[in-house]
Amino acid sequence: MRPDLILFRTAKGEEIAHSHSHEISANHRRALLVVDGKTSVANIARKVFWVSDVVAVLKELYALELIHDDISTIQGEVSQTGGAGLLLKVKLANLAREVLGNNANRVIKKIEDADGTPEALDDALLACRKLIKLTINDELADIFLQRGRTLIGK
Amino acid sequence: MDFNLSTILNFSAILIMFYCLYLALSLKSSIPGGMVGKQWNFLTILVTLFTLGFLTTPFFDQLPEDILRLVVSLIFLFGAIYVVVTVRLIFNIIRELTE
Repeated sequence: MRPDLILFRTAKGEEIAHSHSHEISANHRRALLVVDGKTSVANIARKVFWVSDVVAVLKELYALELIHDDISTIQGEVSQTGGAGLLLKVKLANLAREVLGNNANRVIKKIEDADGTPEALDDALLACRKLIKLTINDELADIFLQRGRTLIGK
Repeated sequence: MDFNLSTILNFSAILIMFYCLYLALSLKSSIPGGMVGKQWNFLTILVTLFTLGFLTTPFFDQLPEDILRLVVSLIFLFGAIYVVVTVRLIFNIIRELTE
């Protein structure tokens, strides 16, 4: 498992993390709960002292499909509280920086202010398109919308 | 130069136009392009022209009548263009936001 990998809980992982079922051990549950869609594996391994052998446990959770690193597998499945929304926002912010360069700040702010659900992000993308079209560049507006929608699976 | 009502009004107009120029230039960096950006460049040029034109108003009494009429006509013409550009800009923004 790559140290820079950012993991998030899948729908199944969300369900188990917030239930009191005994499908996984307490140690696995603790590891599942620290996966937030923001922290890398290396940082989890460094900070999370309350989970024994955390990297191995993360690998097992990954094998059980309770956590994942591929954003395309979670479209519409996971609530924003599970970190998937945050990860999507990070990816959209990176896309904005790539497409718009120094002019990306206001677009990133709009994305950050949106909810993390795919529907809310799609609305935010449409609003960003208008903003880009009005104040930055017509063509970049459509490129940003198209690539953003691909990222969120729309 | 007599300091009468028209002089006060002229100076007020010059001050307001300088403030307008300051606003136009300040906003320029926030609008690098797009529909508003293109129109904003044109509006900024017009505001600059108006500022220069307004600066000549205290000396109008020293200008020959022909030149004076021409300057006033030009101010009216560019004023009309300014209004058209502004109204079209607002129209386009509203259309874009409501489509």
